[in-house]
Amino acid sequence: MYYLHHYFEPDFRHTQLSPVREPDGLVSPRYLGYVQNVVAGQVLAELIDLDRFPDVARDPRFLYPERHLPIGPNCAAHSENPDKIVAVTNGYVFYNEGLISVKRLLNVRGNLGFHTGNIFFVGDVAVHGDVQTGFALQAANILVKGHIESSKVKASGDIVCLEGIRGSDESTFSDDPEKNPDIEMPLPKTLVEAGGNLRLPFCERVQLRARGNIIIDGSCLHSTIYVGGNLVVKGRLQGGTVVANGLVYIEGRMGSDYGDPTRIMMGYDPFDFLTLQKIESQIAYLKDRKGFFESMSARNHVMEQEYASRLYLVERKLKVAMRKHRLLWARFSQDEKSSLKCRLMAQGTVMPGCEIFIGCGYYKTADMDSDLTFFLDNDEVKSRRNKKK
Amino acid sequence: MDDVTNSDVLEGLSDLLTLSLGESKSGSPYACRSFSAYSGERHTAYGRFHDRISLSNNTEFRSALYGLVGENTNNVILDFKDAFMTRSTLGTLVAFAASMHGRNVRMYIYRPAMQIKAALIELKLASFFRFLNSEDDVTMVVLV
Repeated sequence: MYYLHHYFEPDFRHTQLSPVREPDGLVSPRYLGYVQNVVAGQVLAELIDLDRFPDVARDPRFLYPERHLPIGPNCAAHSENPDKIVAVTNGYVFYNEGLISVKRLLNVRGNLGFHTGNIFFVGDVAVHGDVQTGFALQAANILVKGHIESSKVKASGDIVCLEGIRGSDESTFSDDPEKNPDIEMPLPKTLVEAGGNLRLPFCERVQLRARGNIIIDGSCLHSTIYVGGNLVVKGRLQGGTVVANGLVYIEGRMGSDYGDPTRIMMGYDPFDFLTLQKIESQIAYLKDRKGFFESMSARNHVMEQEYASRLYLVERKLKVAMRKHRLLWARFSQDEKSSLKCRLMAQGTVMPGCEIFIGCGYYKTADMDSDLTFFLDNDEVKSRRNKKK
Repeated sequence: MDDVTNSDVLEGLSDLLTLSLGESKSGSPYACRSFSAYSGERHTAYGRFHDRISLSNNTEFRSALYGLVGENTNNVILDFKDAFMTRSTLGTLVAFAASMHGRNVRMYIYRPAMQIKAALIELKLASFFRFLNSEDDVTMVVLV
């Protein structure tokens, strides 16, 4: 007699989810355990000979009179121990028609929201609806067929959103969850981050980060963009900040005659710049905390003892942050050669008040113009009219 | 940068952890075996794992991981410097990371052993995790 012992939940049903009770007893309403992640090489099930191990706890559904391995797609017998079933690829594991299967693409047939909870998946995800406000999604490559609302979407590869991204509130740079002081240039709360490329029809009040290219088929309004490759905006670019280090091409109007200024910053690694902004935010926060702990410690001896360890920790963190800040600035100055290759091409109308930083050069548009290319020449940002075909 | 030996880093890290985790740190019931786990103050938990973590002790590994997390935990730092992990236990780690992601708890891996880092890169999972490579990085993570 043989028993198939599972190392995953064989009765898992994604349509019958409820908040997961973790081994520590806690329950989170935004985590429903929507997917059972497995990695390539992970053991999924093991066939145990009950004649040799009669005391194994058993579910009668998985008792077999003969040796039987229900190997499905993307699964295989272990090369050294053929009684074990292993996954061949990263993905999620489930029972399909009596066979243990692993699938690399996760389809969310509807919105990513309270019915699914936050999702963390090691393969690719296709969301057939929207990613709703307040939820988070992380996967290898992501396709969202609906909208992305005020949420966090992160992919190690590419992200495509078919109906656009609309964010809402603003936040600060610091990663500390405690209260933070006001910071200049706060970041939008909605974050879409891709290790590869990013493509969407429009975005508003969003923070976009991509190591590759970003293509926006429509307008980009009041958003903060960090792009390692090139940025193409086929509609308007209005408000917000773009930090890039290659080509920025804007087909529609750039800037607006009212509201937030539009800033384009080029010539430095965007993600080093982001790290620098975060460190500066942390330094401001830590200085504020240090002042508070010092004032509390000065009250009396009891308070001094109470706050001594926290004051020591904040001073230590401040020292580390200042050192990182110095090292990062030193690395910044070496990137100035790349600023010569940067180009900002604005094919449509360029409104007055747009700020353009390329390397150490700065330019602010004073008049309405159109069809210009901005570049760095002799440490100055200059513009020229694009050649007509 | 100053030259720092491994023993200096370990000593410095233990000072930092004693300071940040406070006297309320609790040892894991598994401390006599391959794991040491501490749940401390300041919303940060630290777990140190060593020796071979495989399918045979996977259940204990899973319990040790979840035992780190409390109601107010914001950060979890996992030290795998001296550990060896099989694919099955990496799968358990991924499941734990998924749970932490779902609960909005930040998970960091401190100085993973070469074997673990190589396995994560081979599986294309390195970008799913945050790595801390030095004591400075740990210092910046611990909440004030």
